[in-house]
Amino acid sequence: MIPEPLSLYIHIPFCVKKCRYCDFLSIPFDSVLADRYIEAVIEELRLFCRRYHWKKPVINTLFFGGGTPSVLSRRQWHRLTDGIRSAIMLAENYEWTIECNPDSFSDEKASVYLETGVNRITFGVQSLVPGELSIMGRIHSADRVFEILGSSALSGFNSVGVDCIYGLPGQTLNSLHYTLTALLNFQIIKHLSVYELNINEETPFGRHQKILPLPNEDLSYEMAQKVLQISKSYGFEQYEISNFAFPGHRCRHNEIYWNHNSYIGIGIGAHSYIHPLRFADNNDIITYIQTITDGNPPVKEYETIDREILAREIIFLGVRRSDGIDEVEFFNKTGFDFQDYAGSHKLTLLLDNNLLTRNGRFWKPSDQGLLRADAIARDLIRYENIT
Amino acid sequence: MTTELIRNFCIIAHIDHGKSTLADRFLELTSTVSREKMQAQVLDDMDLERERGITIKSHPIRMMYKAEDGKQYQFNLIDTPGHVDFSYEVSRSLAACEGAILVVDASQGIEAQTLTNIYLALENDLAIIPVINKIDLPSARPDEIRKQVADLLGIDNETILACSAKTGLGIAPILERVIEEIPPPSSKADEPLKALVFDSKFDAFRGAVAYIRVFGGTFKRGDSIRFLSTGREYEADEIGFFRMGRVPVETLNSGEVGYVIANIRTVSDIKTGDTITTRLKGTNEAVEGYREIKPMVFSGIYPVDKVDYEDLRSSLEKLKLNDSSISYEPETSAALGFGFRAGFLGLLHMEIVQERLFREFNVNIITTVPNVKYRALLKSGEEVYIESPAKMPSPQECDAIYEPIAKLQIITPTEYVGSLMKLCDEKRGKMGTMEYLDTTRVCLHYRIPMSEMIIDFFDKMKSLSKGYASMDYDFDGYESDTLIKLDILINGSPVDAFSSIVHKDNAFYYGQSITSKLKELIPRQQFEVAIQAAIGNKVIARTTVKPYRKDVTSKCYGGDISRKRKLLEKQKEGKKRMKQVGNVEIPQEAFLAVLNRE
Repeated sequence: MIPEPLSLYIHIPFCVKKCRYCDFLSIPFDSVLADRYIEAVIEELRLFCRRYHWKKPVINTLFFGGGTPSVLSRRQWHRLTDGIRSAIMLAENYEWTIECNPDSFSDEKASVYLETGVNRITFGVQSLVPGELSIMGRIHSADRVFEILGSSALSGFNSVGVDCIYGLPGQTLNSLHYTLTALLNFQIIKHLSVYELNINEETPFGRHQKILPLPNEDLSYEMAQKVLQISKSYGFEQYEISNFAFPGHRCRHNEIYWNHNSYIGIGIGAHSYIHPLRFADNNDIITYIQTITDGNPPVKEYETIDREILAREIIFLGVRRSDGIDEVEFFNKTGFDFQDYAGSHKLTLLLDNNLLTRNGRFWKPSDQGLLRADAIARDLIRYENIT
Repeated sequence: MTTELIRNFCIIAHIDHGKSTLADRFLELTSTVSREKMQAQVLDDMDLERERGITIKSHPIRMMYKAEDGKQYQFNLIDTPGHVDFSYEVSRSLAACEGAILVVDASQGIEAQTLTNIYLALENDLAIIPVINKIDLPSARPDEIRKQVADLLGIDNETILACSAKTGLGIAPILERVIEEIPPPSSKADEPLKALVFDSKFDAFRGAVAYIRVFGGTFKRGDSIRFLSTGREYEADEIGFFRMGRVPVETLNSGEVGYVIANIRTVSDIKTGDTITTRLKGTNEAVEGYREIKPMVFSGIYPVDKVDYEDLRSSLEKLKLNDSSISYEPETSAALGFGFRAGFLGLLHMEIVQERLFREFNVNIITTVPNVKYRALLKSGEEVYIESPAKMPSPQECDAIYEPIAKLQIITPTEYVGSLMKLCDEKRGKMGTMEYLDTTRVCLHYRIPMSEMIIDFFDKMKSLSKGYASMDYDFDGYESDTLIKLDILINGSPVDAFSSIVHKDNAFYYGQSITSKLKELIPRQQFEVAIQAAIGNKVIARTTVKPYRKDVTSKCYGGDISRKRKLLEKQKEGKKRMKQVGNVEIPQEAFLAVLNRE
C-alpha cells in the first residue's frame, strides 16, 4: 500500500563555495561527479520503490534541497528530473520546490524549472547587508538579489520564498530590520524562512567564535521578536518557529515532515520516513554512489519509530508550530491520552504562565512559548524508558 | 625467645619523607619478603594507599634479624599512618613500641608533622633514632638537616645516621642502631595478661582482627578474654604474629606484637587503645592513654540517584566493618532526599571514604558542605551538640553557640610568614607564639576555629607558601563566638543542604558569595528563580536567575527530527540528575560548589 500523502526529497549536495557557518557536508561542484551522482540518485529512487513494490507512487510534494540545486547545468537538470519523473507520478495539486542560490540562478534557469514542472522557488538570501554577506563568505551581492526579485522570470511560480539568518556577527536590530523589510517590499515574496545562526565548532565560524561580534542572548531574543513583528506587519503568519507564510503559502512539504506523514529522502545524508521506519542515507558521496552501483540501498541507519518515540516527536514538533498539538491526533497516533502523558499540573503551569494556550482539542504555544519551544518540550516529554 | 632479643619499634615521619620505602628495605634486608615478591610500599595493601603514597592503616610485621653480634633478634615493625587525621591511631601504635625511627627528608627538613611525631614519641617515652633519608637526591642537604634535627632533639649531630631508602644505601647500620638504642621490652611473664589493641582490620572470613602488643603475661590460644573498656568477652580462636600474612602460634609472650581473632563481628566492637586481659584472674589495669575517637568533620552523604540509597547504606555498613572511625546515621534532606550524615576524623579521611565508596562499592554520591560539631546552649539551659547546620536552633532559641577550636602549628620558610599570618587572621585564628627553628624556618602557633580550617585552609596555605609550609593541628576544646546560621532560600523555601554556620562578621560577605555563585550554577528555567541568603527572617543577600527568554533551535526538517529528538531526550535525562526543589531544578554542581568558599 502506498502511503498517502507521500513526499519526495532530493538532496543536491554541491555548492560553488562553502559558507563559513555551514556545517553540512557540502561538496565543491564538479560536473563529472555531479553526473555520476545524478545517476545514483535516480537509481536510488528506483531501488526504494522496488523494495516497497511501489509502481510509480503518487507524490504530493517534491523538494529539491541542498547544498545548492541551482548549480546543476540545464542538461544535468533535465537528466535528473526526467529520471525522477519516470519513477513517480505527481499528484494533481502537487507542490514542487527548488532551493536556489542567487549567484547560480538565472532567468534562463527559471524558465527551465517552470518547464519541468517546478512551481515553488526559494532563494538563500541570508542578508542584504554587504558586510554581513561578506563575513558569511557568501558570493552573491545584495544587488543581484534585488535584480532577481524584480525580474518577471519569477512570475510563473505559484510561490516565491526567501531564507534569511539572524544572529550574525555584527548584525544589529536595524540591519535585520533593513534586510527583512527590503525583501518583504517585493510583493512576489510569499514565504519567509528566518533561521537563527547556529555555530558549529567544526566550521570557520566555530573556530573563530571568540572573536566574532555575536549578539548576546538578550539581543538575539529581541531579534526574534523583530522578525515576528515585521513579518506580521506584512500579513505573514508564523506557522513554525522559523517559517512565515502569506495566507495560503505555507510550505506543504515542511508540514509533511512535521505531521509525521511519509516521505522518501534521496541523496547523501537524506532521511526517509515510511511508518514505522525512519532511515538515513550514507553521508559519503563515494560510498553512496558505489553502494547504489552495486545494487544496494545506501541506507546507513534504520530506526523504528515506536509510540513512545512518536509521542515525544509529536510533542516537540507540535510546540514549535502555531497549529500546536491536537489531542485527538496524538491519541490516534500513539494511543496515549495527551493530558495524562504530559501531566496536567505541568500543562496548568504552562497555561498559567501564558506559554501555552488551549483551544478545545488543540494545545498551542503562545508567541513567548514558541521562543521557548525546546524548554517546553523538555517539560512535557516523558523520559522513562529512554535507553 | 627472651625479651632481651625483641625490639618493638615504628617508623615515624612527615608525609612523603619515605617511611614506607624504608620499611620496604628493612623487609628485604631481613629476607622477610623475597626480592621477587617485593613491590614498592609493600605493606600498603590498599590500592588507594599505593596510589596516593600514603598509609591509611597501621601495618605490623615481624622480621628476624641476624645482627653483627651473631645473635638472632625479633624485630616487630609497625608502619603507621602518616596523616594528622589518623594521629590517634599513630599514638596507639607508638604506645605498642619501645622505640621509633624518625625519618627526616634530606631536602625538606623538619616539617610540622615531624614535630608532632617527636612530641608523640617523647610522650610515649620512646627511644628515638633519627635518620636522614633521601640523601641520593641532588637537592639533599644532609649536613644542614642533621644540624636541624640535632638541635631539636638536643643530641650530637655526628650520631645521626643518613640513608637512601630508595637506593638501599645505609640501611644495615640503622638496624644495628635499633639493637643498641631501643630497649627490649621488660619481661612481665608472670603477671596477668595485659595486651594493648593498637589497631584492627576486617577479614571477610574471620571477622575483626585485633592488632595487639602484649605488655604482661602470656597470651595463649583458646584463652577466654575480656576487653576492659567495653567489657565484651570472647574466646581467642587464633593468635599469631605477622609476616606478609598472619602466622598462627600457640602463645604470644610478654613483649611480643601479634594479633588475635576471636569471632568478633565488626571492627566497631574493637576499640583501638583498649586493653585485653583474661576473663579469669585478669588485670583491671588498662594500658594508659585510651580514649574514644571522635569524628571532627561531618558531612551529608546522599546518593546521586535516589534508587542507590540501599546500596549506599550497605556500602557504608561494609566500610564501617573495617574502619571503625566512620560514624553515620540516616538523615533526610528536603533537597537531597534520603541519605546519611557521616562523621570523619578529618578532611583527608572524608575524601578517602568518598573515594572508597565510589571505587570499591561503585556508588555515586553527593556530599554536602563539611562542618564541625557545634555545641549550643539553649535558652532552656539545655546543652545540645549539633552535627548538621540544618538542625541549628534559631537565634531566638539559643543563648550561645560554641565551636571547636584547633591548636594549629605551621612550619614555614620565613619569607611566607607574613602571608600565612594574614591567612590565619582571615580565618579568625589567634596567634600564640612564633619560634625560629633555624635562620630560615619558623614555627607559628595558632588557636583557630576548626570550621575555618576544614574547608580550604590547607590548599590556601600550600599555595601561599608555594608548597613549602606544612601544618598540623589538634582539637583544643570549645569556645563561644558570635556564630549564626545562614540559610539559603530558593524561591522562598530554605534548602537545608545549603545551610551553614558562619561567624556573624562574615555572614554578609558569605551570603553574597554563595548567592552569586548559585546564580551562575542554576540554569535558567521556565520561571524566575529567586536566590536569597537569610539569617532567621532577615534576608541579607538576594539575586535572581531570569527565566529563559528563548530556548529553541531554528532548523528542524526531515533529516533533523531524529537528531533533535535525541538531543531533547539527552537534555531531559540531564534534568533527571538535577534535584527538584519546589519548581526549581538545581544541578549537582551547585551543591558541590558551595564547598569552595572563596
